[in-house]
Amino acid sequence: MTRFVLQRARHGVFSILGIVVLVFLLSRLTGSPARLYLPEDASDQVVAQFNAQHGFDKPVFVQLLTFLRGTLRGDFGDSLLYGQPALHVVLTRYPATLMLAVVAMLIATTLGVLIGARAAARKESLADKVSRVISLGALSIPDFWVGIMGIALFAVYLGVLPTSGSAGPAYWVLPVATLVLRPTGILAQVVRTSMVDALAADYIRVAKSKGVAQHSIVFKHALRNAAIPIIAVAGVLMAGIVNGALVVETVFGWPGVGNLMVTAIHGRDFAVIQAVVLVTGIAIIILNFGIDLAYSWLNPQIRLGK
Amino acid sequence: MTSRQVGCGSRTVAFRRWATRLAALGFGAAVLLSSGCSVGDPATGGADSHHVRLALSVPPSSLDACDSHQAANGAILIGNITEALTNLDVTTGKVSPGLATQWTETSPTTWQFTLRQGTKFHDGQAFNAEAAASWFKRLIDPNVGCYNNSSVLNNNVVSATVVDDNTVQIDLKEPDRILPIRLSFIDIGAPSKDPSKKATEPIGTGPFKFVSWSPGSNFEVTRNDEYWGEKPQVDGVTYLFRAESSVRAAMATTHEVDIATAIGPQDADMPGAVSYPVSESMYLRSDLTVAPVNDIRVRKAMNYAVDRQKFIDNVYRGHGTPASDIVIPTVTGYNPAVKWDYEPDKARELIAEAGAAGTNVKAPIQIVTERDYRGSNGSEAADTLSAMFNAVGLNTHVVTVEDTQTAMTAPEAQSTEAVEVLYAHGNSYGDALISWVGKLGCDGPQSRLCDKKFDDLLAAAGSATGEDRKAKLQAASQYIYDNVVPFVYVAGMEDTMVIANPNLHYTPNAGTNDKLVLAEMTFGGSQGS
Repeated sequence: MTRFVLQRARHGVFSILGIVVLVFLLSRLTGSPARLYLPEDASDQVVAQFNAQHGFDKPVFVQLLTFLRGTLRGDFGDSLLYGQPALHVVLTRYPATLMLAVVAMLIATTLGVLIGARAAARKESLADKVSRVISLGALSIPDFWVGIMGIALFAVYLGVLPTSGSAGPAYWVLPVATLVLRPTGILAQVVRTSMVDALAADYIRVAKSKGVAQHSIVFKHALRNAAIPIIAVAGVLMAGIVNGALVVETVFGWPGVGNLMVTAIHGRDFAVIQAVVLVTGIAIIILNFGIDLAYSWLNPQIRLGK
Repeated sequence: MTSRQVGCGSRTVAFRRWATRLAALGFGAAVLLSSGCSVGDPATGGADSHHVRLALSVPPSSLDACDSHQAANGAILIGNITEALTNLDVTTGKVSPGLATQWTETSPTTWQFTLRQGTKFHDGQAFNAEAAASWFKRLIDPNVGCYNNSSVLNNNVVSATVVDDNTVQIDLKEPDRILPIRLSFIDIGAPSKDPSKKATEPIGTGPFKFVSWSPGSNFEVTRNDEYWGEKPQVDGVTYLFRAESSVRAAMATTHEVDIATAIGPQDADMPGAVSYPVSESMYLRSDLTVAPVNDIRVRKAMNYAVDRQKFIDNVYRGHGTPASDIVIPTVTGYNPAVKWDYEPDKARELIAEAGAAGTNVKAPIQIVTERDYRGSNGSEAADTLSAMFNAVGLNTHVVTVEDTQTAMTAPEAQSTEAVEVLYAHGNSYGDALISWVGKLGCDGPQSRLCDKKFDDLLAAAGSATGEDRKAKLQAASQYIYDNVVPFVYVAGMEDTMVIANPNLHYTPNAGTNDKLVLAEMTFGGSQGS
């Protein structure tokens, strides 16, 4: 197990290093930061001063080394927009995104497992068919459309929810519901498929023949063995929510890191853009690391490399 | 059969029990996490309050008054928290006293401004010549990188010096007869502890004081009861930022805000909506070097090919006016004799003429645009223009680029095809010289033209004032119309805001997008909208 953990940690470190280099290169590919940030009328003197101030006048290799050194210390430079260290700006906005993502994933996982397991237990029944159609619809509708329609229906037409913002529990409903829809649909489909396979396995028949209680067969034996693909998909979906809350945060004015990213891009705040991408990348790598550990716990063959 | 029924029943019971536990666990955790998790947006105001809630599309990108000419910053700062030495009435072009009570041009490159006495910054510091001079010194310091220095002053200020306690002198590199107009866009902030860094808490002399800024959420100001001028009726303002026009419109409909700005054409007819012409004009910047656009006949044909009213009706639902220049008619130097009408037959004739003279009129032309440019949907503005050009026999196609790419780089340099770039230009100064120098002058940062005769005409206009200046600017405009035709002129833009609170009165004007002056808002009986 220790070897497995170390191996995965090593992969994670290399991935982070790759992200750091990629972030650096991509941000330089967009053109001269000075020309992007400063107004078009800026004099050459102002441009030169800006470049010198931010080290953009040095060779790219030197800039990369400086960037790597800074990254190791968690120093991405100061935000141009907020006048504070970029990492601090990003970390203060992360909790809002994480809370939204965690709440959405808890609900989506609960609903997905419930709907999928029930559909598998009633394979080819009307309930199964209906849940398949609904889950397919849920995973196909874009977040943006759901968000706008949710505002139109529940805030404007029915007047029961606020349109946007984050001032209290009522403000959570529409963004969370919007984020929940797609993962619920995907998970319901994955859970159903996995559970159908698991319930048809030989060991289930053996368990039945031994008189094991039905609920134990379904939820203790079948679900545990069906859990690996479910966890894999849930992990990817969680990463997608952390990463893709951008649309929902923009629509609902949610003060998370997705919203910050959009503002930073509009304001050419390179330090913040780099910090957001890197912190998000690290969060996703840590998440994947956790998923790998969960895999190996559920299926020891994985950690033994079989 | 019986055993199957029993099995089925026990399975259902077990499933329900398990499902209930799982659901309770999942939802319990979710509710626990979300309950009490308030992360922003204070609920303030209301129909009877004089606290105004305003929905804007973009949060400020800087809270330093030296960056106030960027629209997102200016909408909040200018005339509210900070003030300028002069005030410009965009509807009349008249300059009136602001923090300066009078000014004199003591030499072609020197101006002296007499400052308003007894004025204080919100932090208690006195506003005097020393404060004003140190502000201008900071503004022109390349280490600080102030937006307004290049954008407004054109990097033309050399120094600012104290003459006496109430008089500041500004020295220029080149004569600038419209410096008082330019200075109406240079808001002055309090001397800061570290002038080399951008301010994160704006402190000015204006009628409103900064309270708080929760990035990603809201920005709060409150009335400055020690303000030197007339007290505004508004007690305070909460600015909320929502990127989507439909969300801002929904906020107005549900009375979550009193005013929602930058409403898209699709919502421009909703109750409370007020459309108003702004100082912006939409146009295509023509590539003057690549065929077929390098032929003036083709450029003229493109101008005759545009059915401007149909464009406005189709793309902006009628909100806009046909344009024949990049400056709007209220700007000094606008030439009413310069007019481009929709004449497709004339366009076809000119193209045939150019083709007969050897120009490859079938060579492809790119119409480069940003997505959703200037409130349009997707690339429909460029698509509509492209269809009009193709209808008279040209071969255009639309290329959509990232917004930064179009705004900050020259797409012409990236293509071997002729390029027409869709732009919208705003001139809030009320003087055409600023627009034409920047976009057509030999040294203009956005210019693709260097015509010495035109530069001489601009120089002559620049040294004139009053009616003489107006006539000389119009002569320059006529020269461009007759000899260059560097743009395809499309439409004067209109914007829409929704005033949802019937007790709140505000009349937007051409300058509203640059400065949304809170002191102009009043309260009273229903507006009847």
